[in-house]
Amino acid sequence: MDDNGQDQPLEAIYRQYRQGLFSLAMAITSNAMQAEDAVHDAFTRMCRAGRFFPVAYVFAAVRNAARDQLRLRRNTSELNESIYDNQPTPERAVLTDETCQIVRQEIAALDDDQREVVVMKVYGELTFDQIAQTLGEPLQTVASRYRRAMQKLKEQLGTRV
Amino acid sequence: MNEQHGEFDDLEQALRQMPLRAPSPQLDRRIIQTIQRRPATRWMIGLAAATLAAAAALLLIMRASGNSSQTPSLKPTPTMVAFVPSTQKASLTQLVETDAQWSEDGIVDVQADGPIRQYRLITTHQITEVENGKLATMTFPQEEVYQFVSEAF
Repeated sequence: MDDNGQDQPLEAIYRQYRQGLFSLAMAITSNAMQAEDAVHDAFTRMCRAGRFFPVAYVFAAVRNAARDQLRLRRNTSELNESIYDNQPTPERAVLTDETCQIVRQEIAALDDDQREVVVMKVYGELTFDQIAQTLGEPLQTVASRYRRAMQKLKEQLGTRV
Repeated sequence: MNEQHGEFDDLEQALRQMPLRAPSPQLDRRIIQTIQRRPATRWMIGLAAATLAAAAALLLIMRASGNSSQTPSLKPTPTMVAFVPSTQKASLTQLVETDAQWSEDGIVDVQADGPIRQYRLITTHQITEVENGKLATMTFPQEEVYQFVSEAF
């Protein structure tokens, strides 16, 4: 899935990465409405500049817009919605309810930076190279952060998964 | 760096089985509309810029021809209408209407070479979009002020 940083049509990026982009915005804002506004704001801004972008740039734009949304909310009611749906559909209910609940808690308990990397890697299906570009950080730093986060999750989940 | 984290494959797989909160269909519509409307917006800006450039060129010609002492015609400029074909969506049609009118404010100042007469060029761009049977109209007003030296009485 590595696009080598090449520009791709914005519409194609949205169709392919919509879930990952939204989950990233959710991981930052913890609010579905603000996450949607963040994704929309990011695409509106990008549309003013062009039609083709690298995938990492689009994720970075959504991340920035989500952080803007978070700053706007500081003085209003705090919501704490999970990136996960509360009611798993039967066909996807592979994990037990108890395990799902633990995963929710442990993902929420990660540091913000760790959670972002996990979401981009697991749900955005980005490569470490793309995540490093998105965050503007060294590749090694991103890979180490991911490793620490997954190690923490693994310890908490034990043999449940 | 390769993606070597094989020790977490099982955990990644388990995480992917978690039911994610999905973006709403409304967001999908908002995003796709935003992406697909962008070229039309650029076209509209181009038309507005061309209209303004034409107005500016007209003024320059008037000044260069030594007619600065004459008042420009205050008759309404004919309305321009343009149909904008959409390259993105067959169901999208746009009507761009531009209306420009001069008005005179009279003498606003007096300098050594004569009284200064002030005119206003009021331009209105109205864009009407017909998409999927729905009408949406946007209006962009613009006002420019020009001053010319008139002949002294």
